[in-house]
Amino acid sequence: MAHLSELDVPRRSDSRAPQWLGVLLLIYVLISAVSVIGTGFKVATGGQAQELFGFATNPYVGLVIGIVATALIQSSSTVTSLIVGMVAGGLPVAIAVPMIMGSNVGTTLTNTLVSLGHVRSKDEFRRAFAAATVHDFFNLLAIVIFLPLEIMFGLLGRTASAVTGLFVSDANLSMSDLNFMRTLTGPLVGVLEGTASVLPGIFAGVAMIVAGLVLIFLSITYIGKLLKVLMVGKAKEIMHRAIGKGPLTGIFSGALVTFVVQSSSTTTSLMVPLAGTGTFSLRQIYPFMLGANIGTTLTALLAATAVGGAMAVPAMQIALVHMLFNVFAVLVIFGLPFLRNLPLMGANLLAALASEKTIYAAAWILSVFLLLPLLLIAVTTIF
Amino acid sequence: MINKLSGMTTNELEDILDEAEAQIAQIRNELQGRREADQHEAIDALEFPATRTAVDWSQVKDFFQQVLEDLRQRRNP
Repeated sequence: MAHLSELDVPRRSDSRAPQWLGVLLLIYVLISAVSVIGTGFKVATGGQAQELFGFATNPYVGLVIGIVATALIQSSSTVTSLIVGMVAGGLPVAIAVPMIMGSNVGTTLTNTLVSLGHVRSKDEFRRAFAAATVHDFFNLLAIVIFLPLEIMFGLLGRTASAVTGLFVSDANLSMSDLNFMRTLTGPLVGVLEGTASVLPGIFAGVAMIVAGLVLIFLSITYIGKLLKVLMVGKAKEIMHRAIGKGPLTGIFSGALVTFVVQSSSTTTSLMVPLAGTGTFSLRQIYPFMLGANIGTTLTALLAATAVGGAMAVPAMQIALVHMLFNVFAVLVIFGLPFLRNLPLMGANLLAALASEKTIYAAAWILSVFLLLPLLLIAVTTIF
Repeated sequence: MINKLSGMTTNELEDILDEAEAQIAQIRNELQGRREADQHEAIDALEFPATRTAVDWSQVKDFFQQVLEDLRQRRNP
Protein backbone atom coordinates (compact mmCIF):
# COMPACT_ATOMS: atom_id res chain seq x y z
CA MET A 1 0.00 0.00 0.00
CA ALA A 2 2.79 2.36 0.99
CA HIS A 3 4.47 1.63 -2.29
CA LEU A 4 1.30 2.51 -4.21
CA SER A 5 0.81 5.80 -2.39
CA GLU A 6 4.44 6.69 -3.07
CA LEU A 7 3.78 6.14 -6.75
CA ASP A 8 0.61 8.19 -6.59
CA VAL A 9 2.33 11.41 -5.58
CA PRO A 10 4.46 12.04 -8.66
CA ARG A 11 1.67 10.82 -10.94
CA ARG A 12 -0.77 13.31 -9.40
CA SER A 13 1.65 16.24 -9.59
CA ASP A 14 2.62 15.32 -13.15
CA SER A 15 -0.99 15.36 -14.29
CA ARG A 16 -1.43 18.80 -12.75
CA ALA A 17 1.64 20.38 -14.32
CA PRO A 18 -0.19 21.54 -17.47
CA GLN A 19 -2.91 23.12 -15.33
CA TRP A 20 -0.34 25.01 -13.25
CA LEU A 21 1.35 26.08 -16.44
CA GLY A 22 -2.07 27.31 -17.60
CA VAL A 23 -2.45 29.36 -14.40
CA LEU A 24 0.98 30.97 -14.91
CA LEU A 25 0.17 31.72 -18.53
CA LEU A 26 -3.16 33.28 -17.58
CA ILE A 27 -1.52 35.42 -14.88
CA TYR A 28 0.90 36.57 -17.57
CA VAL A 29 -2.06 37.45 -19.83
CA LEU A 30 -3.80 39.25 -16.93
CA ILE A 31 -0.90 41.53 -16.06
CA SER A 32 -0.16 42.16 -19.75
CA ALA A 33 -3.81 43.10 -20.31
CA VAL A 34 -3.66 45.67 -17.50
CA SER A 35 -0.67 47.23 -19.21
CA VAL A 36 -2.54 47.29 -22.56
CA ILE A 37 -5.54 49.00 -20.93
CA GLY A 38 -3.19 51.63 -19.49
CA THR A 39 -1.74 52.44 -22.91
CA GLY A 40 -5.19 52.27 -24.54
CA PHE A 41 -6.64 54.64 -21.97
CA LYS A 42 -3.78 57.06 -22.54
CA VAL A 43 -4.25 56.94 -26.32
CA ALA A 44 -8.07 57.13 -26.19
CA THR A 45 -8.12 60.10 -23.82
CA GLY A 46 -5.17 61.86 -25.45
CA GLY A 47 -3.68 62.38 -21.98
CA GLN A 48 -6.86 64.20 -20.93
CA ALA A 49 -8.28 61.46 -18.68
CA GLN A 50 -8.93 63.91 -15.85
CA GLU A 51 -11.04 66.16 -18.10
CA LEU A 52 -12.83 63.21 -19.71
CA PHE A 53 -13.70 61.73 -16.35
CA GLY A 54 -14.73 65.13 -15.02
CA PHE A 55 -18.23 63.78 -14.42
CA ALA A 56 -16.76 61.22 -11.99
CA THR A 57 -15.04 63.84 -9.84
CA ASN A 58 -18.28 63.62 -7.89
CA PRO A 59 -17.23 60.71 -5.62
CA TYR A 60 -20.80 59.35 -5.51
CA VAL A 61 -20.77 58.95 -9.28
CA GLY A 62 -17.49 57.03 -9.00
CA LEU A 63 -19.02 54.89 -6.27
CA VAL A 64 -22.03 54.09 -8.45
CA ILE A 65 -19.79 53.21 -11.41
CA GLY A 66 -17.96 50.72 -9.16
CA ILE A 67 -21.19 49.20 -7.77
CA VAL A 68 -22.97 48.83 -11.11
CA ALA A 69 -19.93 47.66 -13.11
CA THR A 70 -19.09 44.94 -10.55
CA ALA A 71 -22.72 43.88 -10.14
CA LEU A 72 -23.02 43.47 -13.91
CA ILE A 73 -19.69 41.71 -14.49
CA GLN A 74 -19.94 39.80 -11.18
CA SER A 75 -16.22 39.94 -10.63
CA SER A 76 -14.61 42.56 -8.41
CA SER A 77 -11.17 41.32 -9.50
CA THR A 78 -11.96 42.17 -13.14
CA VAL A 79 -13.28 45.63 -12.24
CA THR A 80 -10.41 46.50 -9.87
CA SER A 81 -7.82 45.27 -12.41
CA LEU A 82 -9.55 47.45 -15.03
CA ILE A 83 -9.40 50.42 -12.65
CA VAL A 84 -5.67 49.79 -12.09
CA GLY A 85 -5.24 49.83 -15.87
CA MET A 86 -7.20 53.07 -16.17
CA VAL A 87 -5.08 54.69 -13.45
CA ALA A 88 -1.97 53.52 -15.31
CA GLY A 89 -3.46 55.32 -18.32
CA GLY A 90 -3.87 58.61 -16.48
CA LEU A 91 -7.13 58.39 -14.51
CA PRO A 92 -6.47 60.32 -11.27
CA VAL A 93 -6.32 58.13 -8.14
CA ALA A 94 -8.79 60.47 -6.38
CA ILE A 95 -11.46 59.63 -9.00
CA ALA A 96 -10.65 55.92 -8.88
CA VAL A 97 -10.89 55.49 -5.07
CA PRO A 98 -14.73 55.67 -4.86
CA MET A 99 -14.92 53.27 -7.83
CA ILE A 100 -12.82 50.76 -5.88
CA MET A 101 -15.13 51.20 -2.87
CA GLY A 102 -18.17 50.66 -5.09
CA SER A 103 -16.74 47.43 -6.48
CA ASN A 104 -16.73 46.07 -2.91
CA VAL A 105 -20.50 46.53 -2.70
CA GLY A 106 -21.14 45.33 -6.26
CA THR A 107 -19.47 42.01 -5.58
CA THR A 108 -21.88 41.16 -2.76
CA LEU A 109 -24.73 40.86 -5.27
CA THR A 110 -23.50 37.38 -6.24
CA ASN A 111 -23.96 35.76 -2.83
CA THR A 112 -27.25 37.62 -2.31
CA LEU A 113 -28.55 36.10 -5.58
CA VAL A 114 -27.28 32.67 -4.47
CA SER A 115 -29.29 32.96 -1.25
CA LEU A 116 -32.53 33.41 -3.27
CA GLY A 117 -32.28 29.74 -4.25
CA HIS A 118 -33.29 28.83 -0.67
CA VAL A 119 -36.66 30.57 -0.85
CA ARG A 120 -38.68 27.31 -0.83
CA SER A 121 -37.97 26.75 2.87
CA LYS A 122 -38.75 29.70 5.14
CA ASP A 123 -36.16 28.99 7.86
CA GLU A 124 -33.48 28.01 5.39
CA PHE A 125 -34.11 31.19 3.38
CA ARG A 126 -33.93 33.32 6.55
CA ARG A 127 -30.53 31.88 7.48
CA ALA A 128 -29.15 31.96 3.91
CA PHE A 129 -30.38 35.51 3.24
CA ALA A 130 -28.90 36.72 6.56
CA ALA A 131 -25.53 35.15 5.67
CA ALA A 132 -25.56 36.88 2.29
CA THR A 133 -26.73 40.29 3.46
CA VAL A 134 -24.34 40.48 6.43
CA HIS A 135 -21.72 40.98 3.70
CA ASP A 136 -23.89 43.71 2.08
CA PHE A 137 -24.38 45.49 5.42
CA PHE A 138 -20.69 45.31 6.30
CA ASN A 139 -19.56 46.70 2.94
CA LEU A 140 -22.17 49.47 3.01
CA LEU A 141 -21.13 50.42 6.55
CA ALA A 142 -17.49 50.48 5.42
CA ILE A 143 -18.43 53.01 2.73
CA VAL A 144 -20.48 55.11 5.16
CA ILE A 145 -17.38 55.35 7.38
CA PHE A 146 -14.52 55.56 4.90
CA LEU A 147 -15.93 57.50 1.95
CA PRO A 148 -16.42 60.72 3.99
CA LEU A 149 -12.94 60.24 5.51
CA GLU A 150 -11.52 59.87 2.00
CA ILE A 151 -13.41 62.94 0.71
CA MET A 152 -12.34 65.08 3.69
CA PHE A 153 -8.79 63.85 4.38
CA GLY A 154 -7.84 61.51 1.54
CA LEU A 155 -7.18 58.88 4.23
CA LEU A 156 -6.84 55.83 1.97
CA GLY A 157 -5.17 57.64 -0.94
CA ARG A 158 -2.54 59.23 1.31
CA THR A 159 -1.85 56.05 3.29
CA ALA A 160 -1.54 54.03 0.07
CA SER A 161 0.76 56.71 -1.34
CA ALA A 162 3.00 56.49 1.74
CA VAL A 163 3.12 52.68 1.56
CA THR A 164 3.77 52.75 -2.20
CA GLY A 165 6.65 55.16 -1.63
CA LEU A 166 8.36 52.52 0.50
CA PHE A 167 8.90 50.11 -2.36
CA VAL A 168 8.13 51.84 -5.66
CA SER A 169 10.58 54.65 -6.31
CA ASP A 170 9.31 57.80 -7.97
CA ALA A 171 12.83 58.93 -8.81
CA ASN A 172 13.93 56.11 -11.06
CA LEU A 173 10.27 55.51 -11.98
CA SER A 174 10.17 51.85 -10.97
CA MET A 175 11.94 49.32 -8.87
CA SER A 176 13.93 46.53 -10.42
CA ASP A 177 11.29 43.83 -9.81
CA LEU A 178 8.60 45.91 -11.48
CA ASN A 179 10.96 46.59 -14.40
CA PHE A 180 11.41 42.84 -14.62
CA MET A 181 7.62 42.36 -14.85
CA ARG A 182 7.43 45.01 -17.55
CA THR A 183 10.21 43.36 -19.51
CA LEU A 184 8.48 40.02 -19.12
CA THR A 185 5.12 41.30 -20.34
CA GLY A 186 6.72 43.39 -23.09
CA PRO A 187 6.32 40.89 -25.97
CA LEU A 188 2.57 40.26 -25.53
CA VAL A 189 1.87 43.92 -24.77
CA GLY A 190 3.87 44.90 -27.87
CA VAL A 191 1.90 42.53 -30.12
CA LEU A 192 -1.48 43.70 -28.79
CA GLU A 193 -0.61 47.39 -28.91
CA GLY A 194 0.98 47.01 -32.34
CA THR A 195 -2.12 45.28 -33.72
CA ALA A 196 -4.46 47.94 -32.30
CA SER A 197 -2.24 50.75 -33.60
CA VAL A 198 -3.32 49.86 -37.14
CA LEU A 199 -6.55 51.70 -36.32
CA PRO A 200 -6.56 55.50 -36.53
CA GLY A 201 -6.11 57.70 -33.41
CA ILE A 202 -8.73 57.30 -30.73
CA PHE A 203 -10.02 54.00 -32.19
CA ALA A 204 -6.65 52.38 -31.51
CA GLY A 205 -6.97 53.38 -27.85
CA VAL A 206 -10.55 52.11 -27.61
CA ALA A 207 -9.54 48.82 -29.27
CA MET A 208 -6.73 48.39 -26.72
CA ILE A 209 -9.13 49.05 -23.83
CA VAL A 210 -11.71 46.56 -25.18
CA ALA A 211 -9.03 43.93 -25.90
CA GLY A 212 -7.51 44.47 -22.45
CA LEU A 213 -10.88 44.21 -20.72
CA VAL A 214 -11.80 41.02 -22.59
CA LEU A 215 -8.40 39.50 -21.74
CA ILE A 216 -8.70 40.46 -18.05
CA PHE A 217 -12.19 38.98 -17.89
CA LEU A 218 -11.18 35.76 -19.64
CA SER A 219 -7.94 35.31 -17.73
CA ILE A 220 -9.60 35.87 -14.33
CA THR A 221 -12.45 33.52 -15.31
CA TYR A 222 -10.08 30.73 -16.38
CA ILE A 223 -7.61 31.29 -13.53
CA GLY A 224 -10.61 30.81 -11.22
CA LYS A 225 -11.71 27.66 -13.06
CA LEU A 226 -8.25 26.10 -13.00
CA LEU A 227 -7.56 27.07 -9.39
CA LYS A 228 -10.90 25.58 -8.30
CA VAL A 229 -9.73 22.24 -9.72
CA LEU A 230 -6.17 22.57 -8.44
CA MET A 231 -6.84 24.10 -5.05
CA VAL A 232 -10.19 22.66 -4.00
CA GLY A 233 -8.43 20.28 -1.60
CA LYS A 234 -6.28 23.05 -0.14
CA ALA A 235 -9.29 25.37 0.21
CA LYS A 236 -11.25 22.68 2.05
CA GLU A 237 -8.25 21.95 4.27
CA ILE A 238 -8.09 25.65 5.25
CA MET A 239 -11.81 25.63 6.02
CA HIS A 240 -11.51 22.43 8.08
CA ARG A 241 -8.73 23.98 10.13
CA ALA A 242 -10.86 27.05 10.92
CA ILE A 243 -13.64 24.99 12.52
CA GLY A 244 -13.89 25.47 16.26
CA LYS A 245 -11.47 28.40 16.19
CA GLY A 246 -12.13 32.07 16.84
CA PRO A 247 -13.19 34.89 14.48
CA LEU A 248 -9.60 35.91 13.68
CA THR A 249 -8.97 32.44 12.24
CA GLY A 250 -12.22 32.85 10.30
CA ILE A 251 -11.02 36.12 8.77
CA PHE A 252 -7.62 34.64 7.98
CA SER A 253 -9.06 31.49 6.39
CA GLY A 254 -11.61 33.54 4.38
CA ALA A 255 -8.74 35.61 2.97
CA LEU A 256 -6.63 32.53 2.28
CA VAL A 257 -9.40 30.55 0.56
CA THR A 258 -10.26 33.58 -1.59
CA PHE A 259 -6.61 33.99 -2.49
CA VAL A 260 -6.18 30.35 -3.51
CA VAL A 261 -9.35 30.26 -5.64
CA GLN A 262 -8.89 33.91 -6.75
CA SER A 263 -12.58 34.75 -6.37
CA SER A 264 -14.39 36.32 -3.43
CA SER A 265 -17.72 35.55 -5.12
CA THR A 266 -16.89 31.84 -5.02
CA THR A 267 -15.92 31.79 -1.35
CA THR A 268 -18.79 33.94 -0.13
CA SER A 269 -21.32 32.04 -2.27
CA LEU A 270 -20.06 28.73 -0.85
CA MET A 271 -20.82 29.99 2.65
CA VAL A 272 -24.47 30.77 1.90
CA PRO A 273 -25.74 27.15 1.65
CA LEU A 274 -23.67 26.22 4.73
CA ALA A 275 -25.53 28.90 6.66
CA GLY A 276 -28.86 28.03 5.02
CA THR A 277 -28.78 24.46 6.29
CA GLY A 278 -27.92 25.74 9.76
CA THR A 279 -24.60 23.88 9.84
CA PHE A 280 -22.75 27.16 10.40
CA SER A 281 -24.18 30.06 12.40
CA LEU A 282 -24.27 33.63 11.09
CA ARG A 283 -21.60 34.58 13.66
CA GLN A 284 -19.30 31.88 12.26
CA ILE A 285 -19.91 32.90 8.64
CA TYR A 286 -19.45 36.66 9.25
CA PRO A 287 -15.62 36.71 9.79
CA PHE A 288 -15.11 34.43 6.80
CA MET A 289 -16.95 36.93 4.56
CA LEU A 290 -14.68 39.73 5.81
CA GLY A 291 -11.61 37.66 5.04
CA ALA A 292 -12.90 37.18 1.49
CA ASN A 293 -12.95 40.99 1.10
CA ILE A 294 -9.23 41.09 1.93
CA GLY A 295 -8.24 38.00 -0.08
CA THR A 296 -9.67 39.39 -3.30
CA THR A 297 -7.48 42.51 -3.18
CA LEU A 298 -4.35 40.57 -4.12
CA THR A 299 -5.44 40.28 -7.79
CA ALA A 300 -5.30 44.06 -8.34
CA LEU A 301 -1.92 44.19 -6.54
CA LEU A 302 -0.62 41.53 -8.90
CA ALA A 303 -2.06 43.44 -11.86
CA ALA A 304 -0.35 46.65 -10.71
CA THR A 305 3.10 45.05 -10.85
CA ALA A 306 2.86 45.08 -14.67
CA VAL A 307 2.75 48.85 -14.82
CA GLY A 308 6.10 50.53 -15.24
CA GLY A 309 7.41 54.02 -15.82
CA ALA A 310 5.90 57.11 -14.28
CA MET A 311 2.49 55.47 -13.81
CA ALA A 312 3.84 52.57 -11.68
CA VAL A 313 3.34 54.63 -8.53
CA PRO A 314 -0.37 55.59 -8.99
CA ALA A 315 -1.20 52.10 -10.30
CA MET A 316 0.29 50.48 -7.20
CA GLN A 317 -1.32 53.20 -5.07
CA ILE A 318 -4.86 52.40 -6.27
CA ALA A 319 -4.28 48.65 -5.85
CA LEU A 320 -3.14 49.32 -2.29
CA VAL A 321 -6.19 51.53 -1.68
CA HIS A 322 -8.33 48.46 -2.36
CA MET A 323 -6.38 46.40 0.16
CA LEU A 324 -6.15 49.13 2.81
CA PHE A 325 -9.87 49.91 2.52
CA ASN A 326 -10.75 46.32 3.31
CA VAL A 327 -8.14 45.89 6.04
CA PHE A 328 -9.14 49.19 7.73
CA ALA A 329 -12.83 48.26 7.45
CA VAL A 330 -12.18 44.98 9.28
CA LEU A 331 -10.03 46.70 11.91
CA VAL A 332 -12.58 49.44 12.58
CA ILE A 333 -15.94 47.70 12.12
CA PHE A 334 -15.02 44.26 13.40
CA GLY A 335 -12.51 45.63 15.90
CA LEU A 336 -14.95 47.96 17.65
CA PRO A 337 -17.60 45.96 19.53
CA PHE A 338 -20.36 48.57 19.07
CA LEU A 339 -19.87 48.52 15.30
CA ARG A 340 -19.20 44.78 14.99
CA ASN A 341 -22.76 43.77 15.70
CA LEU A 342 -24.43 46.31 13.39
CA PRO A 343 -24.11 44.18 10.20
CA LEU A 344 -25.34 41.14 12.15
CA MET A 345 -28.34 43.04 13.49
CA GLY A 346 -29.18 44.49 10.09
CA ALA A 347 -28.87 41.11 8.35
CA ASN A 348 -30.95 39.30 11.00
CA LEU A 349 -33.71 41.91 10.90
CA LEU A 350 -33.85 42.04 7.10
CA ALA A 351 -33.76 38.23 6.80
CA ALA A 352 -36.60 37.88 9.33
CA LEU A 353 -38.71 40.33 7.30
CA ALA A 354 -37.74 38.74 3.96
CA SER A 355 -38.61 35.23 5.13
CA GLU A 356 -42.10 36.48 6.03
CA LYS A 357 -42.60 38.58 2.88
CA THR A 358 -40.33 37.93 -0.10
CA ILE A 359 -40.97 41.45 -1.38
CA TYR A 360 -38.51 42.73 1.27
CA ALA A 361 -35.72 40.64 -0.26
CA ALA A 362 -36.60 41.85 -3.76
CA ALA A 363 -36.80 45.45 -2.52
CA TRP A 364 -33.38 45.15 -0.83
CA ILE A 365 -31.69 43.83 -3.99
CA LEU A 366 -33.28 46.42 -6.26
CA SER A 367 -32.58 49.24 -3.78
CA VAL A 368 -28.93 48.50 -3.02
CA PHE A 369 -27.83 47.60 -6.51
CA LEU A 370 -30.10 49.82 -8.63
CA LEU A 371 -32.23 52.47 -6.90
CA LEU A 372 -29.67 53.61 -4.30
CA PRO A 373 -26.97 54.21 -6.95
CA LEU A 374 -29.45 56.15 -9.13
CA LEU A 375 -30.70 58.13 -6.13
CA LEU A 376 -27.13 59.00 -5.10
CA ILE A 377 -26.36 60.35 -8.55
CA ALA A 378 -29.64 62.31 -8.69
CA VAL A 379 -29.23 63.88 -5.24
CA THR A 380 -25.57 64.81 -5.67
CA THR A 381 -26.20 66.18 -9.16
CA ILE A 382 -29.13 68.36 -8.04
CA PHE A 383 -27.54 69.63 -4.82
CA MET B 1 -37.82 19.18 45.49
CA ILE B 2 -37.27 22.24 47.72
CA ASN B 3 -38.22 20.15 50.79
CA LYS B 4 -35.83 17.44 49.69
CA LEU B 5 -33.02 19.95 49.19
CA SER B 6 -33.64 21.62 52.56
CA GLY B 7 -33.03 18.26 54.23
CA MET B 8 -29.57 17.91 52.68
CA THR B 9 -26.27 19.03 54.13
CA THR B 10 -24.26 21.81 52.50
CA ASN B 11 -21.62 19.30 51.40
CA GLU B 12 -24.27 17.10 49.78
CA LEU B 13 -25.69 20.11 47.91
CA GLU B 14 -22.21 21.13 46.72
CA ASP B 15 -21.56 17.58 45.50
CA ILE B 16 -24.84 17.55 43.55
CA LEU B 17 -24.03 20.95 42.05
CA ASP B 18 -20.50 19.86 41.05
CA GLU B 19 -21.89 16.71 39.46
CA ALA B 20 -24.58 18.67 37.58
CA GLU B 21 -22.01 21.19 36.35
CA ALA B 22 -19.70 18.41 35.20
CA GLN B 23 -22.58 16.77 33.34
CA ILE B 24 -23.57 20.05 31.71
CA ALA B 25 -19.97 20.59 30.60
CA GLN B 26 -19.94 17.04 29.21
CA ILE B 27 -23.20 17.65 27.31
CA ARG B 28 -21.85 20.95 25.96
CA ASN B 29 -18.66 19.22 24.78
CA GLU B 30 -20.66 16.45 23.17
CA LEU B 31 -22.91 18.98 21.39
CA GLN B 32 -19.90 21.04 20.28
CA GLY B 33 -18.21 17.89 18.99
CA ARG B 34 -21.33 16.86 17.05
CA ARG B 35 -21.73 20.37 15.58
CA GLU B 36 -18.10 20.42 14.50
CA ALA B 37 -18.40 16.93 13.02
CA ASP B 38 -21.42 18.14 11.02
CA GLN B 39 -19.42 21.16 9.87
CA HIS B 40 -16.48 19.00 8.74
CA GLU B 41 -18.95 16.76 6.88
CA ALA B 42 -20.60 19.79 5.20
CA ILE B 43 -17.23 21.10 4.04
CA ASP B 44 -16.29 17.70 2.64
CA ALA B 45 -19.56 17.65 0.71
CA LEU B 46 -19.05 21.20 -0.58
CA GLU B 47 -19.01 21.47 -4.35
CA PHE B 48 -17.03 24.32 -5.83
CA PRO B 49 -19.01 25.71 -8.78
CA ALA B 50 -17.58 24.84 -12.17
CA THR B 51 -19.00 28.05 -13.63
CA ARG B 52 -17.50 31.48 -12.98
CA THR B 53 -20.15 32.37 -10.41
CA ALA B 54 -22.34 30.19 -8.25
CA VAL B 55 -25.54 31.97 -9.30
CA ASP B 56 -28.25 29.71 -10.68
CA TRP B 57 -30.25 32.14 -12.81
CA SER B 58 -33.27 29.83 -13.02
CA GLN B 59 -33.51 30.02 -9.21
CA VAL B 60 -33.30 33.82 -9.36
CA LYS B 61 -36.11 33.82 -11.93
CA ASP B 62 -38.17 31.45 -9.74
CA PHE B 63 -37.64 33.78 -6.77
CA PHE B 64 -38.92 36.86 -8.58
CA GLN B 65 -41.86 34.84 -9.89
CA GLN B 66 -42.66 33.89 -6.32
CA VAL B 67 -42.43 37.53 -5.25
CA LEU B 68 -44.99 38.45 -7.96
CA GLU B 69 -47.20 35.54 -6.90
CA ASP B 70 -47.04 36.64 -3.24
CA LEU B 71 -47.97 40.19 -4.24
CA ARG B 72 -50.93 38.95 -6.31
CA GLN B 73 -52.15 36.81 -3.42
CA ARG B 74 -52.00 39.75 -1.04
CA ARG B 75 -54.05 41.86 -3.43
CA ASN B 76 -56.62 39.11 -4.08
CA PRO B 77 -56.61 36.92 -0.97
